[in-house]
Amino acid sequence: MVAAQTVMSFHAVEVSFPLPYQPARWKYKPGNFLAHLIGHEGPGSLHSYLKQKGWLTSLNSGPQNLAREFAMLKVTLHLTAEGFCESFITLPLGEVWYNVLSQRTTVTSSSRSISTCRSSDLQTFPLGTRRNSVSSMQRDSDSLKNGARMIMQFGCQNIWRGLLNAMLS
Amino acid sequence: MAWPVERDAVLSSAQLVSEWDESGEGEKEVRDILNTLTIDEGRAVVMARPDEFQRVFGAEGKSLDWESEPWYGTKYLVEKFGEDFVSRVRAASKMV
Repeated sequence: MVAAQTVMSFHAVEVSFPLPYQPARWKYKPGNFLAHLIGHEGPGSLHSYLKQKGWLTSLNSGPQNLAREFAMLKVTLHLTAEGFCESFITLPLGEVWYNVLSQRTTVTSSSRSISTCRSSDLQTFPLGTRRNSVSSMQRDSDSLKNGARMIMQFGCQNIWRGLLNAMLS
Repeated sequence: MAWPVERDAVLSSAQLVSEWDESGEGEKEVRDILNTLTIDEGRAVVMARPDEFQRVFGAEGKSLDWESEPWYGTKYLVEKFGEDFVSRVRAASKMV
């Protein structure tokens, strides 16, 4: 455990686990998949439980690509003053919840709904949330580092259509 | 390419997720990671104002040995989880 003193008045606990390199797992995105479930705010979720106890103000969860071949899964809990006192109880709770995830039914049905949501996000504008254009373009230009060869292969028109779709998603 | 993806998936690979199929590859990737989400593999960072640490740890009668990091002088301390805490977490994991 690392404890750090802050200047700003807030209480936070960050729990991190090492992850395998995620870009190589682009097809199923296991890091995003688990982060989605851990960060879920619906009934029965970790967020809902801690919030009902009055311990939590916000919960974020996501994979971080820290370096080539190395990533972390980070769960950040912003706590109330009461929740901070209880944080050494909430940590094992997180552990329980991660193990709930390993039950087959939850994980399998989530796989279906997540892949369906993501597909409709990309293809149907009304279901998508507009993202920051700069970061979308940065991400796409990263993917397109070898762009010249792509233009020869697919033609400009298709590439622009793809970029437009990605920006609208 | 920056990502190791097939050429026709360059634009969509960052967005789309494939549904798990019969091969079980997708589920295996998730379960392999799930198995590593344990108290032995993880790390926790706790952040708050100094008086809040005093309020929580002081109540337990625990004295804190703060160090200063060299760049901004932020006070921090690093310690292993107590055996009691670790065994409670392991017991909680087995309950499910």
